[in-house]
Parts: sequence; C-alpha cells; structure tokens
Amino acid sequence: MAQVNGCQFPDGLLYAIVEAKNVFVWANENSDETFTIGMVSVAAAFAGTLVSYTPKKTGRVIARFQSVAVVESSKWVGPVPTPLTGELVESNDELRKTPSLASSEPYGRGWIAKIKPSNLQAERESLLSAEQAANLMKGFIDRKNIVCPNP
Amino acid sequence: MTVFHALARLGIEGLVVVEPDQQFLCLGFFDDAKQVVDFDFCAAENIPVMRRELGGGLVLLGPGQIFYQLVIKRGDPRLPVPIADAYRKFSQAPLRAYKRLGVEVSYRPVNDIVTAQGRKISGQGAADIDRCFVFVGNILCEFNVKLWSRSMKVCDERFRAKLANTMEQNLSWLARELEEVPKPGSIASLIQEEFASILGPFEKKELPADVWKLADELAEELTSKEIIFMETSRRHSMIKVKEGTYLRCGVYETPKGRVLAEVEIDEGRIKKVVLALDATISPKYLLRSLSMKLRGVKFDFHSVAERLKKVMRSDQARCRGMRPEELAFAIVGERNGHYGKIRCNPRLSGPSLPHAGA
Repeated sequence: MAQVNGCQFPDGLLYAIVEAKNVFVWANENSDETFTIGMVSVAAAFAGTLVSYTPKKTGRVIARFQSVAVVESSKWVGPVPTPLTGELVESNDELRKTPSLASSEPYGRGWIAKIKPSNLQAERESLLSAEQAANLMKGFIDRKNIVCPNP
Repeated sequence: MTVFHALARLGIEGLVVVEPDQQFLCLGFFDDAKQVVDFDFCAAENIPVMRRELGGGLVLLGPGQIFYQLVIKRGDPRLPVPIADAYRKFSQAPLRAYKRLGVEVSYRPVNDIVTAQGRKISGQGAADIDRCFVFVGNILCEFNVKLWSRSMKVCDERFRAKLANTMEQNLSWLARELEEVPKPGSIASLIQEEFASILGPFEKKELPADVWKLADELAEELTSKEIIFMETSRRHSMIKVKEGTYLRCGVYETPKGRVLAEVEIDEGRIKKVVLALDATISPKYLLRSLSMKLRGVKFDFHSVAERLKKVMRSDQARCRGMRPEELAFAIVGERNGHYGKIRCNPRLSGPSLPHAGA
C-alpha cells in the first residue's frame, strides 16, 4: 500500500486525481462490470468527518468528474465526482445512515456509489495505480500540510 | 443570496457584501423542509423559503443582517485545503470587524463567532460549487428571535416558548452589544477591508449581466417546490442553537400514553429536561425527580436509559406501561445500541418497573 503522511492509497484500486477540478476519488472494478467508487482518504481528511450524504438518483448517466453525490461536514457542502462516465446503478444505504463511514472507512464501508461505465475503454487509461496516485499527491499533501488520521 | 451561487458557477472570484431587503427563510442544502419549516405560518406571513447550496441549518435572513459571501477558486494558493483551516483563516475577517466595531468576540471552531459572554453572534457556511469554494457569513445588526422560532416546525407548541427563550439567551447581535449600531454601509466597508487584509486588495466592479441572469434563474430554481421539498438524508432530531448547545423536542407515542420531552443539551450532556407524560405515574414527584437526576448525564440512549432505570428502581415508581427505555427514546430520539428487555416486577400491583437484575 502506498502512503503519504498517513494518507493511504491501497493497491488494487484505480485512482482519479485532478487537483484543478477537485477530483480525488478511487474506483474498483466489480465482477458484474460495474465499478464501486469512493473518496480517497486525503479528500476525506480535508473535508472533515461527514455528517450528511445524498447521492444522485440511480438510473442517471453522469459524465466523468461530475457529481454522483453531495456530502456535508461542519456546514461545508461539496460534490463527490465520478472518475468514470456511466450510469449510477447503486448508492450506499449504509452511508446514508452513517455518513461518518466515508471519513473512517473511505475504502471500505464508506464507498460512495456504483457506476456502470459507458466509456470505459477511453477513460480507463487516465486512471492511476496506487503508486502513481501517491506520487502525484505527495507534493499537494506536503504543500497543504495534510495529515490523514490513523485508519 | 443567489448572486454568489451564480459567481461560483461562472468561475468568477470576488467578495459580495449584501443586506437582504426582505425576510425569508433559507434552508441548508441537506435540510428536510417538511421537518423544519412551518409552511402554514410562512404562507400566512408571506415569508418566502429558499434552499441554499451550503451546509448548516434553517436560518431567517432579512434586513439588519449584513452578509459577506466570498468566492475563490479551488487551487488558489490563498485557499487552505482542509475545510477547518479555511474556516479558521476566513473567520479572521468578521472577527476583526466585530472587534473594530467594539464587540469582544472569539472564534469557536468550526464556524461560530461568539461574544465574551458565550453568545453566538455570527454563523458561517461553506461549499464547493463547481470549481469554486464559497464562504458565507453575516454580521448581525439585529435579529428577530421570535419570528424565527415561530417559523420553525416544532413537535409541540409548548416547545416553541422554550425555543425562543433559549435562542434569546444564546444569541446576540450588534444592537444588544452596542449603544449605537453603525450604518450598514460602514459595516460593509469594514468587512471588505478585513477580507482584503487577508486576501489582498479587491477591485470594485459591476457584476456582468450574465451573473444577474444566472442569479435570477437560480432564484427560481432554489425556491421551486422541487428543490424545497427534495428528498434529503438528514434526520432532524435536534435544533442547533450554537456550537455545543442543542435543543430537542421529543415525542414518543406508546399505546398507553404519550411522552413529551424538552431537552437542552450542552457540550454533549443534558443541561435540562422537562418531561410531560400522559401515562399515570407514581409517585407524583417522580417527574421532577427524573428531570433533576438527568442533569449532567451524557446525551446518548444508553446513558440516559441507565440513569432512568436506576432512578425509577430506587424510587419504587410505578409507571403504567411506560418503561425507562421509552422515556429514553423520547429524550434522546434514537437508540445507539441494543437495550435489553425490561420485565415488570410482578410483586407490585399493576405493571411496574424492573427491579435490579432485570
């Protein structure tokens, strides 16, 4: 697992990191051709503990880097972008009841949504490995003095 | 309120300082409108309702409130990335403005500004809208506590007076703190100067026509029934008065009676609770005893239920059909963990409360 200042980037996941667009998300391919997506621990760290989560309606097709869900922490509200264009097929009911899971278990029970990609071939190439994501984020994490809490 | 939304969506940075010219209610992004707004009252009083794309809860906006709305692009080096750090940095502007106005205030993380007496005098909210970070807050010259508490939906009308009273005790505004309140224009200049001291000088500009056009479109959208009544995930079990202080009006219906609980929570513990029960309760002093013995108890289901069980057991109380955990549910509003079954003591006449070991 790659790690920077306590911010983890588990192996086996794919990452979309675009600082200028506020995109810091991961994607994991499922056996049914869908992808589970979520916030990387860095994003969870600088948002603070989440208190609310509202996903977009399932069935909607959402373009890459557009919002699949809106989250809130300490009176800040922000979108969670999808790393892949596709149909939102499932939202996380457990997260609705316990939004803090996105902060405490961003790679586990705190997943944000499941997407069925519609442009995977073109978009997959731009996704990063754990090591690539960690290397890309290192400068940002150091510059902004971000420290992720212990998992 | 929609100008800053429009600026953010168009990627235009700036600081807007504005005073509303009418009263209106503003829902936080995640508020469930049906749970928090008394729509009948608002309709009768012609108080419009809108939803903002910021966090936080229901607020009453209107004349006498000077709003500062900062729009800054994500990636700007002046914008701290951790949200808490952004709040801390930008809160310096209103903090310094209040001090220059002669009001001693301090910053209470994450987003409150409080007077030396601990009253909240300013609240702030933030959001990421498109590629911009938005930071919004206010300088309160005056505030209509009564109107605000009347606009809110409450579980029981008896609670409304408590709500207004608690707000009055815990909130403040310039007219309460100063002999004479400066004109809005002076306050606006002050806040602009203080933001400039943090971010660098601003250049005063007329807003482009497309900002006004989009702001008008957003005003329609954010006041539409679809947006006002949109489904959100928030459960409104308490009203936040200020950081650390909450009010709860809880009702628990059982087949045998109704429990109404007015609870004041301070820093995670019960400060005060008033209970009203439809059920027959014995001994008669139990209600007051329960209320007093709940003071200081940690505000979670288990702690409250345990204390109730202990008190009711020691007072040999009989509460027809009302169990400690039912009272706890009215008081806390949700069960944090499993609570075992309570059996009635068969040695006392009628259903009663458990003895030790149940």
